[in-house]
Amino acid sequence: MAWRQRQVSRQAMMESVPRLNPDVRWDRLDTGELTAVFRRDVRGIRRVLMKLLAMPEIGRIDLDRTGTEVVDAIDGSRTIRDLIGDVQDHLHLSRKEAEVALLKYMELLGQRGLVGFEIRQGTEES
Amino acid sequence: MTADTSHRDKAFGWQGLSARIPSDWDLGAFGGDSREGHAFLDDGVAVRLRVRWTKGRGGNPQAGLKRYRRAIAKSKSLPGLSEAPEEFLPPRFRRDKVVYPFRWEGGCGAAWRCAACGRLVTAEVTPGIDDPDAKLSRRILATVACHPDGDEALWAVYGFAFRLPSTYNLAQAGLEAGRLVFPFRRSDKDWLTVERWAVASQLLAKAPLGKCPGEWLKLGGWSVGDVVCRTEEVQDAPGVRFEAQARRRSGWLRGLTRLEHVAGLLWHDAEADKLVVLAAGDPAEGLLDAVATSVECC
Repeated sequence: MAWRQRQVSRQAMMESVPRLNPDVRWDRLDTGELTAVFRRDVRGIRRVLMKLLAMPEIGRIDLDRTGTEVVDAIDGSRTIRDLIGDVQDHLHLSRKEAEVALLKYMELLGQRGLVGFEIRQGTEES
Repeated sequence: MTADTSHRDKAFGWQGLSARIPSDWDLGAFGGDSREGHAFLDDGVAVRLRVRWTKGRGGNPQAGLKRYRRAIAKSKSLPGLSEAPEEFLPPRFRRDKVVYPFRWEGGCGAAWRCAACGRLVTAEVTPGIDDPDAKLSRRILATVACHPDGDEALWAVYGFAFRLPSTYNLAQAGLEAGRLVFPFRRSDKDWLTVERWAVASQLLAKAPLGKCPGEWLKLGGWSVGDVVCRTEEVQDAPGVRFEAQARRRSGWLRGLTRLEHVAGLLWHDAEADKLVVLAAGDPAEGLLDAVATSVECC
């Protein structure tokens, strides 16, 4: 089956809705900050490396205060643009700074499999 | 010109150029230096203002502009290019300049050679959906200035603005989200750095204001002994004036690097939740205070 990489326009990206991975458990510490607890991907070569390095199957990522605020704001309806506005207001940053910071953070969360992004119909391009 | 943060417009200043731009426009891409470079500003959706400059080669300004016009005409990025009448831009814009205003399907622009600063500049403004007849674009274009009015240049990006003598050249800006670093140089020994740190409250939770100069120097790669700090108000905000004898850390060459007298000002703008740092190598009297007075932060 042919598979092609979809190109997402900037508009679609900004209107996309991030969603928390339901397979990830979010623990709240006494400080109020979040810790993401997830099962590591153990397929293929990673399985071998994990055994060699004695890495646990369960991974944990501690979020700082700002990261926690961003994850708390993800409610399944707010778009990337909405979250940029939140970061701008809470951290007193310019629009561009808030955009760069948030997109970088979302990219990191996405790469770790902690969030996914719902591209809304009508805004996507392929 | 002030860093106006109203909904209508705000100041933009970069490498001696300046403009009044809508408050939601920000610097997206930049390169080069005061001699030759570019700056592109976007509104979060698309690039709206492109400014490119180069130091003219001297000689007949018309000849230099002709070369530019030929280059623009050949450019495929401006379809439907046509010359606009002279009155397209106001007389104050055209003063001391040979100007070529133009329009294309996607917007309007101008190329000019300035007799005052010698720069050859092109500026292109692309209107957004809120500017169907390009009136706003034309107004913005008319505010683009290629050199400062006096001896000081305005630097204004991302809600942070300050003025500095024009003789200081930006070495290499570090514009990261939350941290803006502007290292300037006038000569090998004459340097000045302006920095703005966001989320200051989180930073100060880790190190109180009085310890910040020492931390800043270590972060900047300085090897310092004692840092002499004196608390004082800067711009009606709690601040610290500091001095130190320091060497730039450079591994095994440390003993050979020059001992420098570093002086600086650091203050916490609680309303904007920002830390601002000004530091210079043996600065002239009053320089840091003058720059500090010009800082606007939001």
